[in-house]
Amino acid sequence: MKRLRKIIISVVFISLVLGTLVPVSYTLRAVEINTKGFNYKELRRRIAGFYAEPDDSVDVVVIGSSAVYRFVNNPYLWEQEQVTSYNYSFPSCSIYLIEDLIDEVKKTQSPKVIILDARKYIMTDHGSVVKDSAQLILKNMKYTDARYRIVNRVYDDPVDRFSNYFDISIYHSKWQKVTWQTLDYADNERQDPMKGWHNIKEVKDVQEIIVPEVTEEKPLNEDAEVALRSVLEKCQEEDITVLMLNTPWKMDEEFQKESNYMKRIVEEYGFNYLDMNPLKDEMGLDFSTDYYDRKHVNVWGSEKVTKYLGEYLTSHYDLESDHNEEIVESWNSAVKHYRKDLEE
Amino acid sequence: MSYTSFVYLLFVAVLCGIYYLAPSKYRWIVLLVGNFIFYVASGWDNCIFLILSILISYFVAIKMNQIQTEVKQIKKEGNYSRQEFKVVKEQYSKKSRRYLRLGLFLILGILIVVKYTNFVLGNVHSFLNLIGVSNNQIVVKLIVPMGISFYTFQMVSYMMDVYNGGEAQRNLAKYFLYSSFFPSVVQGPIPRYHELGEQLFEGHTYDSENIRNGIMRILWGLVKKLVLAEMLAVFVAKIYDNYESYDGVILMLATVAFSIQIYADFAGCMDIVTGTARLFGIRLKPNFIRPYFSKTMPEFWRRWHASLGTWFKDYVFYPFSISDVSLKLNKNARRVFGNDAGRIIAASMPILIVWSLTGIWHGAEWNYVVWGLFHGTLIILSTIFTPYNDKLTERLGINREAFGFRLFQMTRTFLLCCVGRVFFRATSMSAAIGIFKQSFAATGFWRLMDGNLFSYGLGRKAMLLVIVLIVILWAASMVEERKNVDSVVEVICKQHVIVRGLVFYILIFTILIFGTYGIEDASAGFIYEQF
Repeated sequence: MKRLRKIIISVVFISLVLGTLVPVSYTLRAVEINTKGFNYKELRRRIAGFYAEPDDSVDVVVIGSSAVYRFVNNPYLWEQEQVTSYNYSFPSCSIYLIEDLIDEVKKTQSPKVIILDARKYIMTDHGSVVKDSAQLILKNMKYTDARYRIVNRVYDDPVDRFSNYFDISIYHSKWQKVTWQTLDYADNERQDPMKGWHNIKEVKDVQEIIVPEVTEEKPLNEDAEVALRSVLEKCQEEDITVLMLNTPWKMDEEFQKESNYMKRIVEEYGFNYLDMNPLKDEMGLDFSTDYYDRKHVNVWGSEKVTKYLGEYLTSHYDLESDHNEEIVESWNSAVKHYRKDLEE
Repeated sequence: MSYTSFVYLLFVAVLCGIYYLAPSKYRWIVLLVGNFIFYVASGWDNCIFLILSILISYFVAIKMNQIQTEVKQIKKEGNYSRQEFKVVKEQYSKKSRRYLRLGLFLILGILIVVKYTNFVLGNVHSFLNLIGVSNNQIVVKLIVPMGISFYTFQMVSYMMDVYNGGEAQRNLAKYFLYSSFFPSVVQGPIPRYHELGEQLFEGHTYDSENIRNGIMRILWGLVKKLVLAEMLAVFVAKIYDNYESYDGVILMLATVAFSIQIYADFAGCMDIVTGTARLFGIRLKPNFIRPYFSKTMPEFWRRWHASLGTWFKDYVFYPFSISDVSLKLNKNARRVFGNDAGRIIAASMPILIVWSLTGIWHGAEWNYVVWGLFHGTLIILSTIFTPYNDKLTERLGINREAFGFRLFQMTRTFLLCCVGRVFFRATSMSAAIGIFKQSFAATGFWRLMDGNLFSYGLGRKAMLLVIVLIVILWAASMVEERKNVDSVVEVICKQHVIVRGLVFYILIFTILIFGTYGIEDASAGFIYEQF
């Protein structure tokens, strides 16, 4: 009886410690919400916001780097097509993490289409880039099996692995920056009023991007092709609909050849490949007003891209949804925030 | 393997599990293997010196023990008259002394070579330069093995105890375990064989109280070290490393902060060490007995790093005090300076020797020697003035037991200690002098209030946390003092399960949130580790 009592006390105590450790860790990670510069704040809002979305409420999930999350304007897509979408994306998102990210998305959402970033397969990343990009998502993900797999995939050193499983060891030194605002992230869930979207209103006059008209193909980097095929196989096996999206940027001839090669592979698996580069005129992209740097569109450019994408999505996929009032209201509110922010 | 690392905690947890799963009579072997792993993890270079010292002290002790046995045998046989036996005994005693001297020479020789070669070469270089002989300074690349100052002293005490009639350990493996017991080998306490030896070889049975007490003691130590000491270290380093830019009250505050830092650092380590030993049912003698509650300097040194103080007292102070040299000195000093002054001068010599050695033991730098001599001088002055002080307080009608008077005495001792700390923390003798000059160059107490205090490495929240922890540490020390226990943990462990649980919970999260650890915020290691 005495031994049983001791066991019960120990179990209660350990549960209490672990039950506190998780929210404390999430709160300490969230101090970057107060960091000036770069887009940590935006990233945290976007990822924590994704977890806060009601289960099975997102029709289209976008996974990838800024080559997608700066182009797919979620409130605008809702406004135009009544399609709920979310960018579960982060800077330089590595192609080696895509499968784990799909698993993570599937925990709470059953998207009708998952849009993947094609550009990252063309500009394959290595070594430290993979680690740096992984850090960005690891510090924002919940403690799940997918996160555990990402840690194991990225880090070989046991100390690094342990530090990332138990990431309070990385972020605890920021305790002085904890504010009431960061406490809102104690469960790593907080609805973002603009559904993870962030308006960038800067304008840079970039030189017109002339896409060479090439039909030849050039094989992708070997690792990139393995990663691509692996993701496509997974999606095929798990009956996930994929749209591979190559957003408009400065494509040179070599990149275009790789894009053509990738298109063939994607279609081989029965999925669509949308290369927007030859469609810039059709979308009405203006290089003097629609970009904020050479690789990314600003909010006005995103509207043009999203408008085209929305039409493409509704014409190619069955995205009819019967979202409840609460969800509809939430997305309408996102559009209001979006418009208000644009006016400011 | 640092005592504050996760690897160490994991190592201890696994070893503890194996220890209690092993049959009782083999448990000491588990500890032995643990010692070996702990030492090997710190590098093979370290092991060579340790093994060499162990073998020397082991064989010297065995040899001395054999000689003593032979003497006992001769006495038992009764073939000699009393007078003859005295002569034979003296012969054997000389033989034994030769072995002891050889052992001390070799063991201390290793310590001196690895730790002080560059110090000696540096001083020779400076001296030759001073007398106009140009020369290049030679620096020898030497590894100072982990814990060498501590285990050397431990082995010296063992050999001397055996020489004085103590029993030698005949089992080399058991002696290895005693000499390298992993919790205390790096920073002490310096255990005596009769205190620790048998405890190590006993197969302690599992006792949840030991486990609870041990874990809480380790956590409490980690709070002291990883939270309080490390935070204060930031503040102290900011000011001391650039002391030319600061003066007055800020430098004084940094000195006080360093006094608290070094206490939290060393006492924290001792908590981890004691807690670890306790997990295996082994009780180490307390090394810190609330030193800042001391009313006099001699008392302070009975409470601070008590095992080192006792070591010097037993193996340097007493032997020197009764040596022929000391007796001659006493006689000559009385003759030249008169009875009173001569007695004081003669009594001061062993104190100054002990404190010079204490200083140099801490580090091969002159500032450590000066620090040692400073404390030696304070102890001599304290001895001289205590009778006058007693008379004065009696005439003034001061109640020596009154709280106010005790507080005055404690503050006085603490402040004197702080003065010595300047030598201890400064990177060189010239830096120490510079810090003293700057400290009294200006006062500017207003600077404590103008908000700039938070710009010296610790922000407002961190400073507040430091103050809270100091208050908690002080309150814990008060409880220990009143209840006369080694640690406040002993008291907490006797409380209701909810109180204990709450304390565990607070300790765990204090370390996890406020501690200095992890790949991006690594702890700087213990101050005494370098000695």
